[in-house]
Amino acid sequence: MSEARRVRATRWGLVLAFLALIEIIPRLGLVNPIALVPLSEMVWQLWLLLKDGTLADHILRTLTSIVAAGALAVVTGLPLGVALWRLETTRRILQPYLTTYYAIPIFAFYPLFIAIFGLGSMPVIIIAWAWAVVAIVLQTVIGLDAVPPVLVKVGRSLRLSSWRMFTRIYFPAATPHIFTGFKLAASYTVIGVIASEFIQAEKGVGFFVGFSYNNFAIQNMYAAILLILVFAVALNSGLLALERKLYGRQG
Amino acid sequence: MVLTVEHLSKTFGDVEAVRDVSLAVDEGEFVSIVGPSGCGKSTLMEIVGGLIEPTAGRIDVSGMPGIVFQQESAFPWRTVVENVAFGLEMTGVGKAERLTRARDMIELVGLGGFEDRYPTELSGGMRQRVAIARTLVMEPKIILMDEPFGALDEQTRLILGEELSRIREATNATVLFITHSFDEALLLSDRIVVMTARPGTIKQVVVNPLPRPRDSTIVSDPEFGRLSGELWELLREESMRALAGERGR
Repeated sequence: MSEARRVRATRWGLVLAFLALIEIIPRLGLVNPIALVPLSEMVWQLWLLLKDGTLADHILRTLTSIVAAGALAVVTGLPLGVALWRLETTRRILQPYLTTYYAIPIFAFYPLFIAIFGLGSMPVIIIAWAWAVVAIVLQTVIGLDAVPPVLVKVGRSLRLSSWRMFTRIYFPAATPHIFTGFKLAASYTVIGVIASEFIQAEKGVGFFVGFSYNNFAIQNMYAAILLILVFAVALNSGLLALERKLYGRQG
Repeated sequence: MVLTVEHLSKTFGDVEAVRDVSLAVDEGEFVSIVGPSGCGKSTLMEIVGGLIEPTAGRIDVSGMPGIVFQQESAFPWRTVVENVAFGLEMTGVGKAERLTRARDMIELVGLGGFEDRYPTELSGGMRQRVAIARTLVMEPKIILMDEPFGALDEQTRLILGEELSRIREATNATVLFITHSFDEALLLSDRIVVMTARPGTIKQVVVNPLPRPRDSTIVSDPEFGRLSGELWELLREESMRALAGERGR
């Protein structure tokens, strides 16, 4: 077996071992059965919840919030990033705030958002957007900054207009970085939506986890957590595959 | 004349990069500029290419010069053929025509079969051929080359130099070529302009008597060795001055 294959086999082995532990530990009675249910029961419970439609509304609400917050982060983050890259002085002023942005526990402001926007999807979307957008802004600035000067010179030697310089040289050169911003933003959006639903909401998968926990419906709680995990992993793998397809041959 | 430069000077802040350079390049001529590092060769080229403004002097150049840079300049997000067709695309040449012309040029620079590869899938020498093809396909009246083989190893340099010599004979392109390699200059040029250390000014112009067309075997010609020695004698003192200047900084 080659080195790469051994690494891959071990990686999958770790996942399987972890899943097996979750199955075995509760069955052997090593933990309190109220604290952890075996994996097979989580899967079965999730299946039941999906089949009888209990989760449908929650899933719809959560997906809508994620898509809305993610789309909002992209359409605001990109132009903001480009603007910040162009406005040298503004950027110097904002630099320390941007670099320390992710040190702020933004969820502390969630009650404020609820007070402003009411208890619905709005505060959830706003907080998820606020958490995701800065990643796109930062990666856009980084990507545009990293464009090799020689590529810009090629454009200038062809006397390209500023618009074409941007659309044909700066932007395509920066897209691998910007895509990294999208990937980060996707994760932050999911976390933002689920976490704020968990804290305070009237609907959503995150809310369902919290509600089940408060009502000692441990199997329901784990079923929903499992669903969130599967969704997050699938989203991330999908984006990674897309990245490889788009930029894999560009080095 | 395809290019006429008169009394050109360039100062960056309080650093005088180029001082009073006058130079003319005729159609079909291949002129090399050699000089110690930091002598303003690249500055001179960027002024001629319209990338920076001179402080003083006059430039008269026909058409839009094509430029080949020392640094890797193939666009990593475009395939070889898309790279080569870039300039044509920007000047509004139709898709069918620009692809045909790009393919022909790719063939000419010896990259046939690599049209649909991305630059990262090629070697450094091949990527530089992409940049050369992208410039040649525009059929500029004059091509400016700023140490295009500077980042490559010695053997690749000689081979690419020989290729360039062949391409030049095939297209009769007018070239202003910057290099610090005498071998390259003697292999390729009709005239060699020797520059002084900073502020860069023309020390002497050497006419290359070696018969054309030339290939890389010319490096073993005794006349080649004599000319190379002559160039070094001219440059030695300037290189020492440039080095002393660097230490003094």
